[in-house]
Amino acid sequence: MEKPGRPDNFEAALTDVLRSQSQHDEMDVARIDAFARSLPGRRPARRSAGPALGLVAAIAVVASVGLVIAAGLPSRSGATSTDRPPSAAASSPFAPSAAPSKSAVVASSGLPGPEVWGTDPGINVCLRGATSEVEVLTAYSLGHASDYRNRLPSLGFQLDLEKTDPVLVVIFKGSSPVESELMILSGPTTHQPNPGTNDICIAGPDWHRRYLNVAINWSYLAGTMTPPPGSTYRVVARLPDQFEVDGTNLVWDQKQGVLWFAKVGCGGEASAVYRWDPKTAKTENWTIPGNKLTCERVKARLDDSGALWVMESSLLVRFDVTTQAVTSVRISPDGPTWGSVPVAIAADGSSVLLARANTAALTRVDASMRVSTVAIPADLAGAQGDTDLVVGDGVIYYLRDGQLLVLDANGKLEQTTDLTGRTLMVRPDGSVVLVQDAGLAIVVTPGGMAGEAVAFPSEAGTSLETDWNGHTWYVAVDGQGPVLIEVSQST
Amino acid sequence: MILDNHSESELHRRVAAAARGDGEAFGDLVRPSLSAALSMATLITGSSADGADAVQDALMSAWKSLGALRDPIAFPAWFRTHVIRAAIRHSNNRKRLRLVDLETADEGTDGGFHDQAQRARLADALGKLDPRDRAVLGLRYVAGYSTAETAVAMSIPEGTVKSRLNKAVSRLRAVYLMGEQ
Repeated sequence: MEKPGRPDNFEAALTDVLRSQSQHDEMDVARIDAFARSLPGRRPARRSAGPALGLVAAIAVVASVGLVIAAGLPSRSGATSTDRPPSAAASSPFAPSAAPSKSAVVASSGLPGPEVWGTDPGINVCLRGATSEVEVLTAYSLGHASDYRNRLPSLGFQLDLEKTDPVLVVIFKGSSPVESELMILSGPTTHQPNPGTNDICIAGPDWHRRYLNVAINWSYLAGTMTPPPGSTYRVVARLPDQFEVDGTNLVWDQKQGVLWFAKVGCGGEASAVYRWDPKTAKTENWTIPGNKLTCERVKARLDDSGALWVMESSLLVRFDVTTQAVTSVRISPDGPTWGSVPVAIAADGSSVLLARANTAALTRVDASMRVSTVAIPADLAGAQGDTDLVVGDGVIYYLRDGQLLVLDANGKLEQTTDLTGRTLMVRPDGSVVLVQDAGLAIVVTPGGMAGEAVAFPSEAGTSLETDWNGHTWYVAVDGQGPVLIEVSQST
Repeated sequence: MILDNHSESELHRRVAAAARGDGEAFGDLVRPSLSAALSMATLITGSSADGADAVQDALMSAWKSLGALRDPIAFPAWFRTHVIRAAIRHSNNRKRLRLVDLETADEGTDGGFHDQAQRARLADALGKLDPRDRAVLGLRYVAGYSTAETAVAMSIPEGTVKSRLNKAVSRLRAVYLMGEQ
């Protein structure tokens, strides 16, 4: 008999709860429909005929070329037919609009045509999943997948392409087919790239990858020009399997010139701190107290005295990186109820400050594990979502709910700025940088004003650390497991 | 006649008419998406009333900016992005945690999920997530979107979708497993 709450029931339970929480009254639909039809009149928008005519022209090209790739798809015709089964569409929230189903390759002047690549099996692989009209603009063969570095430099670093397999790069004209990874309900079947970009598919012998909104330099892709040297990405360490991209925190130790990792327990594995030395490429690790089950995202900070602090939902651990002495304090006596769960940690001298959900105070823990509080305004108590906290030059920066709050050392609110980002970092000079989703970071000041932009790897998630001297690290996962990637900026 | 889905020519015609200020054409354009939009907005905001408000906000913003839509074929995806943004904005503006009605949370099919306390905890934890996390979860687990599709719908990088998904699922799984510790 199944035990309630077994981990393998979790996804079914989550889906069930999500569905129940998305239920609504059909009367609301009718009311909103009436609202939509009664919106106040506005001046007709001036619309350019260009895009629409362009689309019509593209359809005409497809019709005139008439070369349809079967790709295992039913052959359908009729540019205006609505051929998605209504039942599937009706059952899916945000069901996609139907579109005529026809996949085609199109000759285009100046680019290799179907006579060059039309019979390559990679074409069919890349058209898999196409249930609506998709056009292949052109395709290029690369001797090795890893040639993407010079031929498609805008992809940045792609762990999946660090292979020697020969590949076909398929460039779509307009929409590209989408293969849903999770087909609980049907989702959209095509993706429309952003203006000035193309969706592409790279097919190897027994694998393929899709990349959306790729800015293509045709000279680089054709191999007639080589891009200037840019950032160098390399896998510098293969990590134990239990490392998660988002469940790990990296901390650069400027004094020792090493990188620390902290990871909270997961699936019975104990919490631990790891030390990776770039000079020797060796990793050491020490077990620390912690919950072995939660698998949650851990946060770590290195304080000025050289102690590494690791925070999970119910415990704060101090690890002396010199003596390896460990001390800890419970910070949520009732356990991880999430009601007052700690959401952020900042090093401040030889102590740390914690921000907790639903708590109108920051909690200070010093090197002797003595606890005190710094009151903050009551309306700042409800931090959720992407939250981070740092102290730079004695000023507290608190990122929460799409706002960057600047507080003085006594918790008095000095400045509030609408700024989103995923993490805050303190540079060696005490200035503070907000890393945003797109891989860009901006310098923030006590006035809340944004300053110069700094680039970071956009794929790095939250496990991102830099030595501010041209080296940045993050954890990613390839086919074999988690890896530590180092990015070196060219000068 | 209102179709469940628009054909390409209908989309062109209706978008053109709506762009000229034809409210009925705009209504026909959005009607097939309203139920799904309301589902997603309800999930993101945490209540059907807030969800309905968010969808109305999305309708207003879509109506006002229809002239900026370059490709009529993209209308459904464009509108759903408006809905998601409006729901997240609406949720952020509420500046409050969602209070979960445990009676309501216990309703519905069990689907093999027979520990109501766990279900209530999961619902409670879901309500406390960032609305953007709820949006990612809804798009993945309810709408069945892939990571790439979710990234497009939310106008965020794929890496961010993975990060949010990982974080939210880890947190919810921890809550779900609490009863076993």
